[in-house]
Amino acid sequence: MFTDQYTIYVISAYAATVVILAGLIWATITSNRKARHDLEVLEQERKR
Amino acid sequence: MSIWRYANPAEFMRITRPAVGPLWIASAVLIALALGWGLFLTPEAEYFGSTVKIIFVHVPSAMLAINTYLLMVVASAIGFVRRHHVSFLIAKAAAPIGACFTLIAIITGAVWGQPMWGAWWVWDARLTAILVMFFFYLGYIALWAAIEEPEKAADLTAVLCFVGVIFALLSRYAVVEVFGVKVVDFQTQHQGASLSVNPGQRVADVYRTPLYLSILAFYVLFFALLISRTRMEIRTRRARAISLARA
Repeated sequence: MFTDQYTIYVISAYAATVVILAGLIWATITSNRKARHDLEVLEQERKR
Repeated sequence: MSIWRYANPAEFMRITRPAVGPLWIASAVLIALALGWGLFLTPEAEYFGSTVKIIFVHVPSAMLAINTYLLMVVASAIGFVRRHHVSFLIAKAAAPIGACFTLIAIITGAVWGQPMWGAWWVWDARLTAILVMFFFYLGYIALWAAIEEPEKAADLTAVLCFVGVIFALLSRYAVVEVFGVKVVDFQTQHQGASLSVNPGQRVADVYRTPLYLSILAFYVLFFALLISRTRMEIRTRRARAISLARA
């Protein structure tokens, strides 16, 4: 699979990609959840 | 029926709701398959060694870095001309995604460049253009955050987006050949296109299928992120409108 001296570079590139994408996905999901919750609260308050 | 009905926020939310879950699931499966195939199941190249595996993250990221910016330009132009809020919100939602893919392209390119070129970075046309494009992404995000009035922010960020398009194009088309004649020729150390139609330039056949899979996986993830973030922006805008109406 990896037999040369470049393994550390390859693993670093994949690790950086996964960390950045995981951060982006996490930020998207949490901010989406917060936006949905805030809007629901406001709409409920408006109905009352 | 006109396509502009999709520019209605309520219609956009209704149409995209069933797509969100399947897109997230598909992107998770495809990313796992693509990265697993690229990292563990592809052979080392004769000259590049195992660094050839970096193309499975670098190439799709670089493609999305440039294409996301072009999508922002088109969405901003539509918003600018037809005053459709959803267009502006799509551009706003795309910016952090494009910035992240640009960062991945820069980092993975640098990690590949060190063992192959002997330098993490060289100031050639394509690399410099993509770095400037990254700063345009950051400037665009910062400008949206700095201006409280959404209409004004939409217009000013659109103008900023138009100005930066030259760097998106330059990062892709630093060298353009037409019938063997170079019509655009900026100095660049960067390789030719990995998926070039010219067999002498493109990657070997054994890497092409996993590369296509990787590109597909990154695009599916991009659409999952873009739709989710646009829905979030629409909700935030709606919440702001309710708050202002109450005040």
